[in-house]
Amino acid sequence: MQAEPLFTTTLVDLQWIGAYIAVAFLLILPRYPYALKQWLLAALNLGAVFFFFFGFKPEAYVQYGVMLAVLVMHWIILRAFHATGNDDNRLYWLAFLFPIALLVAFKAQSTLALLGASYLSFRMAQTAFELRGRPQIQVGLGEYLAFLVFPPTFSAGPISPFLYYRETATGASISLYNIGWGLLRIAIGYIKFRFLATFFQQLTFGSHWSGGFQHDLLDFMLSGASYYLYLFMNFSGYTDIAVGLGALLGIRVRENFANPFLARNVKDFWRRWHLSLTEFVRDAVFTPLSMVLMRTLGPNFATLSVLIATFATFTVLAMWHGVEAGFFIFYTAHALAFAFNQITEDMLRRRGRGVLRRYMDNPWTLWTGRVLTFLFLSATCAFLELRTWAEITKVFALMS
Amino acid sequence: MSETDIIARMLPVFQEVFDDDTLVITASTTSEDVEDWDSLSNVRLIIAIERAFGVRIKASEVAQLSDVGSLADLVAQKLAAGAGA
Repeated sequence: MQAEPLFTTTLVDLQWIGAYIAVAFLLILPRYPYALKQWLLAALNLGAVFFFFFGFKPEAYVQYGVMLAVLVMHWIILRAFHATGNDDNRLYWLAFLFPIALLVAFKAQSTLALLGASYLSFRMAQTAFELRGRPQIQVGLGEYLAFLVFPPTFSAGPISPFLYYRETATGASISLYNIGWGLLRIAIGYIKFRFLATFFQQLTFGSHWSGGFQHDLLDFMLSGASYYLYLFMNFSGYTDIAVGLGALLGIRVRENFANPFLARNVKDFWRRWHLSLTEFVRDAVFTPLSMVLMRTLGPNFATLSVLIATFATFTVLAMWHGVEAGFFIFYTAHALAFAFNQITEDMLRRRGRGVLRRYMDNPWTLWTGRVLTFLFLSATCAFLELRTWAEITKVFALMS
Repeated sequence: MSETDIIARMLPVFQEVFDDDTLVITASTTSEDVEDWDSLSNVRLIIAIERAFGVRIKASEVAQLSDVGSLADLVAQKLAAGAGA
């Protein structure tokens, strides 16, 4: 049993990160035409991604070639979509589903593993979503490649929107303040990623339960809580580094966390955790599905429509991570808790004006909710770490 | 119909969805300004606006809305397109 992090990267070698930033800075800072600047950045980013994430191995050349072909093919689809004023339904769905279908295909086979495939595919699908209904926006190949393989966000997100990139990739946002702020975020992220995450990893199932000794429920919760804290330090530390590196170059990268430990319930937790993914899935899955259901079923079935859409959204999130028992247990538990929160709020709302507000404003319910949410996250994060059915049964056997 | 007229017609819809008769909205009101305006109540709001104005709003258009003013502008476009059809 081994505590595998969900988010790993080789992007921790400081001198190479420094070299990348220095060259990128020199490319962005001068006042070249935007298109030329983006082609130069694309060349740098493609080279850096190959060096940082693929390496000079025979199989890496094939993987890299496949990745590049997929990116260019998606850009060609976006070009065709733009020719219709970014409005043609068939081309939109092709641009949206092509990367998702490829992701499913890559996950279903074991011959060709493509590094960063999950994040790349969602960035491509999200770009199609962003362009829809905005006929004035045309994406150049140079800027699209530079955006998709921007090294700080390449392998572990955030799924930063294309329009964020375009707004800031001109270099106009480079300032002493942003550089100082970026360096601070990198330092904070590095401490979280290298030290705090390693500290909490010591008590996860992979480390604490590997001796084969008997354990009890308290141990289970302790290891679950450690994995929750480890995940946060690992993932948010990486995000801090990505946001900070972006700030050095004046490129805005999407924030991914909003104090998840302050969440008062599971519904609140998902407004604070892995925001770039949850907001994309909300916009692309939850909102359209719940709108269709509400229109079809009518306003009397609004809660039911929202609950069906909620379960569909959590199913997509589970499948995005992988088809394994631990992910499905985690996301099913969260979907049920989310539904419970929603039904409770609806009931309180129906009991009279101000009842829900008084419940929300009460400090006792707030802090009780925060503690219970932390315990719930600790218990369910255990299944994220254990992941396979064999590991889950092994741990439960040690508790019997 | 101007943006102001549309916002005035939207007000009772907002008050109904958010269950608050004292709620006041302007063009610059965002989800940050209204308690309980989350992704779930946002869907309820959009469907209620569709019914109130007799228009159809796409999910991709919902994702591009930034405040009440942008929602009113979108409704105005839909009404104009409907009137011109």
